[in-house]
Amino acid sequence: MIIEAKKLSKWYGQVIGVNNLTFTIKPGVTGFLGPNGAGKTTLLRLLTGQLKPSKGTICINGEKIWNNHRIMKNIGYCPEQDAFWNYLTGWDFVFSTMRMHGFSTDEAKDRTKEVLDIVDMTEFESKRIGGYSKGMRQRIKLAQAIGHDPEILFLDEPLNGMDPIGRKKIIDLVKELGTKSKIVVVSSHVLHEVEEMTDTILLINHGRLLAEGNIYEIRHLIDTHPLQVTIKCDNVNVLTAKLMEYEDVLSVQFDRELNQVTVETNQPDEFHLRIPKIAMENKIKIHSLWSPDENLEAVFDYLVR
Amino acid sequence: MPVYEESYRSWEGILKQHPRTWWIIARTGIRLLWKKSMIIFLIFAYIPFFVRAVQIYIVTQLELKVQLDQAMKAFKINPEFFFQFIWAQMFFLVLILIFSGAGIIANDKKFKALSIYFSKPVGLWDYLFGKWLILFFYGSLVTMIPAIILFLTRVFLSKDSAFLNNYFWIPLSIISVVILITGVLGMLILALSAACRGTRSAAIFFFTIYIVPDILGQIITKIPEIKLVSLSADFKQTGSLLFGIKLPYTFPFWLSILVLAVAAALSILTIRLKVKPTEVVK
Repeated sequence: MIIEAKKLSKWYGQVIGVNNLTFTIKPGVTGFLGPNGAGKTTLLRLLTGQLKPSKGTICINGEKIWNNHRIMKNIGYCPEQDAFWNYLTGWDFVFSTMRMHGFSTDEAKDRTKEVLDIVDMTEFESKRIGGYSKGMRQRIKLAQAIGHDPEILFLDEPLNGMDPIGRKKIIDLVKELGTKSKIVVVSSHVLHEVEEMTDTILLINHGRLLAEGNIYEIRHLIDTHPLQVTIKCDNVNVLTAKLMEYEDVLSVQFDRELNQVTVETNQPDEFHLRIPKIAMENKIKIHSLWSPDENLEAVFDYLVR
Repeated sequence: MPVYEESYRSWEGILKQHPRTWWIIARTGIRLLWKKSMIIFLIFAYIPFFVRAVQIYIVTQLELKVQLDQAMKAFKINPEFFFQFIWAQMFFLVLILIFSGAGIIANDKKFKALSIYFSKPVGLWDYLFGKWLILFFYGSLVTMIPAIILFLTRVFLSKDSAFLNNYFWIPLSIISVVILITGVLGMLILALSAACRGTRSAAIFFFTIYIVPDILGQIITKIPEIKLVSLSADFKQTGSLLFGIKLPYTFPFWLSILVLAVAAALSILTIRLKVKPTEVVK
């Protein structure tokens, strides 16, 4: 099983969804990484045969996917947005989607039971979806996507709204599916989420493919990019003085009124380890610590530059 | 009892190559509507049926005893009787189409469920046919089914086979008229459900398209052809033709068929344009 996209483009009037993408996806887990609005969802809809490419081709095992029901039978798709009827119970929803894939009534019943168990939703199967939490909705969407045991699985931001235990389970499930000779594509705008599931990624921004390959190479690029960290504490003067003693600290800006200091460092890991030590030794109370440019948008800006 | 690990389990069976997805869509929709107190509505819709059944019983009993005089001939069980029955049931049919049809696609769009359908081996025509079958099922329950039961009642209560010999074709006419009406009106409500932002606006538009031209036809009596724009008048004209009774309007029947065909074609075109798996980004 192999997915091949050649010069794939999709535009909606004047708006470009994806632009001239060429890539290959092999069995295992592949991450689509990009900020919100990068074109990940459009790409997934092209890959699931829901959208017709404006230009270029997309094939699975050499067969075009658009309107190809034979291929679509082997695809599972878990959309990012809620896409179900709130008045159905979880069981009814998964059961009806199983039937659409060609399961007989008895087979669909058995498989629905099994798949609800896999995603830990058996307890809530008789409840209406309208009453589900965000995490439960994610799990029921995942159940309908994996129910027919597809060869190819597309998961659009599957960890959105999940609690830590739920996230761990889904991550483990995705990794397990990747070992079963299936193609699993996970899209996310959160780097560490993708990092937990796979080391193979496609980096997308503004509908274009920025990078393709091993996530650690991307990580390396990010690590050499100076990182900004803002710290809010009760003694800005002492903290600023202490931080300036280190060579990796490239610049420091402080704001006495807000009691916060913004530091630029080129060794973020060491910097993060150092902060608690400085705080303990100098009895500085740290209220908050965040990195304004740790998000993907900043990384992409850096990569594009 | 098998004991599984808490992890993924593969499916070992073989799936059907061509699942009848339209049937799955229809069945799910029918079941969901049934849960929405449809039974109470159907009980009301069957009151005219019981009245007509009693009428058939009385007329056939009288026929056995005495020769019907001229006055009783008004109650005669003939093709017109069955067409009149279906026509009277149109009130319930329109209500059913509004009640069950207005949200039939609008809700899928509202809940963004189209991407679930079309990421599976479901084609547009499977989807539409499945949705239309839901409307046809409930529409038939208040028109075709009771009309055919009335016909069978008449046949079984007859003293001889004269009625069956003369009118054996009536069930075919009943089926044709019901398919015609639910076909055109079903497509219309599907189109409005796909095009409108919500269930309420789809219902209002449907009601307006169905009722307003009819009222216009009643008001503007000087131009009889104005009734052509009324779907109701066109159904009556075509239905009368199918039942072999006198046409109610002076304009030719083929014009009515043409208007109905155009209405159905426009509805299908609207659906084709408005039903897409994903919302297009503007």
